[in-house]
Order: sequence, then C-alpha cells, then structure tokens
Amino acid sequence: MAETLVFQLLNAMVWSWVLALLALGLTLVFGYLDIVNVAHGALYAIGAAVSWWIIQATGAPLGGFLLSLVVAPIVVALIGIVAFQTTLRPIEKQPPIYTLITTFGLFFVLQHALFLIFGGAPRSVDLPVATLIPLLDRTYPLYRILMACGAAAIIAGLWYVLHHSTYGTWIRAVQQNRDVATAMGIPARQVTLVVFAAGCGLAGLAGVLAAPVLQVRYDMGIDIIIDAFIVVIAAGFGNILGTIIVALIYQLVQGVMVMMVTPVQGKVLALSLVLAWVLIRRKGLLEREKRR
Amino acid sequence: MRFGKLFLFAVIVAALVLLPYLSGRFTRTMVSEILIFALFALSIEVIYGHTGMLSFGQAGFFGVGAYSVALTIIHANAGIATALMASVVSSAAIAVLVAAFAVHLRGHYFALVTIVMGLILYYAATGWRSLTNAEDGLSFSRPLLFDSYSLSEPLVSYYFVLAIFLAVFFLVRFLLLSPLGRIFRAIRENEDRVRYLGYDVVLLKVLSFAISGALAGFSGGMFALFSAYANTEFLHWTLSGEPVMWSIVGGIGSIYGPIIGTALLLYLREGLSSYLIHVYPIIVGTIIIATIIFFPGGLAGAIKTRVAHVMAKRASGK
Repeated sequence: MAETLVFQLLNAMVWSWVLALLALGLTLVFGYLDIVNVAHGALYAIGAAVSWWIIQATGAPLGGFLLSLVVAPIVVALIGIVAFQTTLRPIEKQPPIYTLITTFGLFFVLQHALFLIFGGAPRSVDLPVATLIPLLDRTYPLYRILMACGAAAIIAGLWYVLHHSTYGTWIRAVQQNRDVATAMGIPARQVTLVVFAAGCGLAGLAGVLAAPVLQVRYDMGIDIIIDAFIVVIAAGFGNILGTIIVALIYQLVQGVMVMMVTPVQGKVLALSLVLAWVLIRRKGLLEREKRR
Repeated sequence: MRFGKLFLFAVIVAALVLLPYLSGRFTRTMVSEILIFALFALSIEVIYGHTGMLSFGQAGFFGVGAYSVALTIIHANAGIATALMASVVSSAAIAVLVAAFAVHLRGHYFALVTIVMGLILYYAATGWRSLTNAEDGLSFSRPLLFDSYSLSEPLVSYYFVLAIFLAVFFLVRFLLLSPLGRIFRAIRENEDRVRYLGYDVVLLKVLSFAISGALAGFSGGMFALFSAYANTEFLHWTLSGEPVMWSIVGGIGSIYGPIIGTALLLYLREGLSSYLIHVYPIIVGTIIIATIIFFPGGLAGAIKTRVAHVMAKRASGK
C-alpha cells in the first residue's frame, strides 16, 4: 500500500512536468495573444506522431528520439505559423472570442488530417533509455525521470527568455500595450507570430516527451488537453510559476485519489474543485492582481 | 417583403409536411435529426447570438436532457410529456446553478467555465455507471403518444418531431422578439448601460443561460426519444462545439441562421460520412474558419446583405 502510494506520487510528480509544459504553451498563447487555442491537443498529437516517424525512419531509439526532440517542435511550430497566418491573423480585429471558434475548427482539421496520414491504430515508441532504476523492491524507468528533467529544463529556459532577454521584453511590451510597443519600433506582428509558434512548438515538445510513455494515437490530445486547460484556468493565464504549481497539485491530488476512488470520480472531484476555485476567486491562483 | 417572407415560410412548412410522401426513409430520418439538432443550435442563439456569452458546454445539457427522458421512462414509467418536462427542468436547474456564479465572468472565462461544467457532467455520467451505463448507454421502449400512437411508426415519429419543432421554434421566436429578447441583445451590445438603466443584468444573464440550457436539454430529450437511446457520448465536449459551429456557419444573431447552418452541415455530414468519416471534420473545420474570416455574419448574414443590396439597387433604379 505504502509502496503503491510512493509510486503513484512519483508518477504524478513526473507527469506533472509534461502537463505543465503542455499547459505553458496554452497559457503563453492566451496570456500574451488573447487566443484560446483549442487545437493545442492536436498539435501535441502531431508532435508525438512526428517523433514516431523519425524513430521508425532512423531505426535508433535514442538517436531518433533526440533528433525528434529538435525536429518535431519545429514541424509543429511551422504548422502553427501557417495556421496563424491563414486563420488567426485575418480575425485579429474581431472580438477575441472568435479565436476560440476558429481554433476549434483548426482542431478538427488538424486532428483528422493526422488520422488520414497516420492512421487510426495506436503505435508505441520504444523507451529511448531502457535503464530501470531499482526502487523499493520494484524498478522505475529512468526515462521518466529524464523526461521530467527535460521538461523542467525547457520551462526554465522559457522563463529565462521571457524575463531576461530583449525578445522577452518585447513580448511583454506587446502584451501590455501593442500600439505603444509598435510606436517604439518593436515589430509587434512578428512578435505575436513568434509567440504563437513557440506555444505550438511547446505542444509538439510535450508530444515528443510523452510518446514513449503513452501510446501514439491521432486523438491522444483529446483527454490531456482538458487537463492542460484545467491547469491553465486554475493557474491564471500567462503565469509560469502558477502553471507549474497547479500542474503538480492537480497530478498529486489525482494520483492519491485514484487509490481511494475510481479515476473518473477523481477527475470529477478535481474538476469540481477547480470550478469552485475559479468561481469563488473569479481569478486564477497566483494570478497577478494588476493583469488586465 | 413581409409578404414574401411569409410566403417563403409557408412553402418551407408545406414541403416539410409533404416530405414523407415525396422521399424515402433516409431523407425522413435526416430531416428529423436536423429539426431536433436545430433546437440544439437555437440554444446557442439565445445565449451567444442574443446575450453575447459563448457557451462551450451545451452538450452537458443535451446529455442531461437525454438521460432525463431515458431514466424517467425506464424508472418512473413516465409518459412522453412528463419525460420531456423532466429534461427541461433538470437542464434548466443545472444551468441556473452554474450561471448564478459564472455570469460574473466575461469573455473567455465564461466560455472556459462552461467547458469545465460540461466536463464535470460528462465525467460524472461516465463514472456513475449504475445509473447511466456509460458509453454502452441505455435503450428503452418509448411510451405511446396520447396513449394511442407509437413513435416506432415512421410517420408518427416524423410528424411528432415536426410539430414539436414548429411549436418550440415559434416559442423561441416570440421570446427573442419580445422585450426580454431586446434586453438580451442590449446586454450583448453594452452590458454596463443596461445596468445603468436599472435592469438586473445578473438575473437576466442567468435567465438567458437557463433558457439556453433548457432548450439544449429539451433537444437532447427529443433526440433520446427519437432514437430510443441515450449514452454518455451525448455529453462529450466535442459535441458542445457542434451547435456553435452550426450557428456560426448559418449566421449568429438571427433566429434562422442556426437552423440553416444545422441543416446545411448535417446534410453535408450525412452525404459524406458514410465513406469519408474523417474527411467530413476537415471540411467542416475549413468551412467554419472560412465563415469566420469571410462572412462573420454567416450564411443568413450574407443573404441579408445580398437582399438589402438588391433592394437598394432596385429602389434607386426606379
């Protein structure tokens, strides 16, 4: 019992980093561009699928995986760029709620396009690092630990870029006041495109990291995107630290509850808590009060 | 113009009444489904088209309505009217409960809370297997209509759906053209001014969401009656997006738009889905994106501007 609890908590802690990575892509795009990207889950699935292809093509579990860590986010970001320029740029001046409907359409297009190319059968990706660590009479795959570390490193890098680089300053400037930023010579159009592409790329990265743990399916994004949305809503949009903390709490609570109630009941409980939280606070956890 | 509109309306109703004699089972079933789902789309017109709050959790109400019908018939031996009433009451009650808190949120946040609400209902339904039988669903035998007509008869079923559709359509039309509908539209345009005029905006928004939820629940109840079946997929979040898409394509802000959109997209789905089940969503996704970019008013909006254009031309020509 105690052993199971340890493993549940370990799994939750490991998985929360992938969830945080996925949620960060969402929160970045919403916090800085006012776009709720429903298609995020489809982009995550595309990232995983690209990773599967590369590993199949190279025939090397580790080499192919490392290659896909670079290639898949770029592919997904490029898809994001095309999608942004063709579907979201033309409605920039419309009410922001329109973006929710547009990305819902995008979600349909991308997910089913992936089905046509990838097929409906689930496929598995070999663990890039097959080592098992002995732990409490059992073993734990080293890859999962590395996956969590990788996700954490990416998040740290993102935080650094946003807060300690010139481009990050530009991004924050465009979010605060686009007109003034443009007047100061910041290429606002380019900045918005880069932020959207980065958000999509993060979804692709999360897909690559998750592929060896889960099965790769064209609709693998449907369930996890919901978790990501929950995390984003509870954490408040555009808040990196809040996203990490909420992802961790959400996963831990679910991991512990799974031992007492069924997974579905756990989900209902977790969702109800988040809903109550948002409705009572009317704001995300840790969200800065001043944000408009 | 007024006469022309009335004439067009009479022709459409006449065509719908004569339809079973002019076409086969396939078309009849499809039209029945379109009529039921058009009510589902109208629920979006009430809350989003008129009141300006986008709900992405309508499938929750749809499923609750469907299960209300199934459960009251199975466990309480309810008649058709009672079962349908149950679907309206239960979904409206949930809508009021959620709206009482959620209407304070604006824009994206309201939409997101409705998504979460839909999810909670979905997971609760899948988790409560003893009641809902999850994705395997519940089949039931339908009670007789007026104690004498069986809904298994194709013609009875079709005219039942048509009559209900027309009745609800006129009810919704009456409601939206009434002063209440006008205040809903005023809230959409400028909520603060409506508040300054002395209206209780919170109450009105709750009312709007309750009407919308009741309508969605009712359409779910009708669909359950029509197919003698309900399962938890009726509550899935992807179904919540459907009425939004139908309404957008048909044209939001007009009571005819959502109906036109539903007819068009469901017709397309029936036509394509038999052999292109995964191409249909791609086409629909493309249509919805194209509509938002090129015809923000949807098909109804496009027709309206076209007609106005022609009328203006004729007037100036004379």
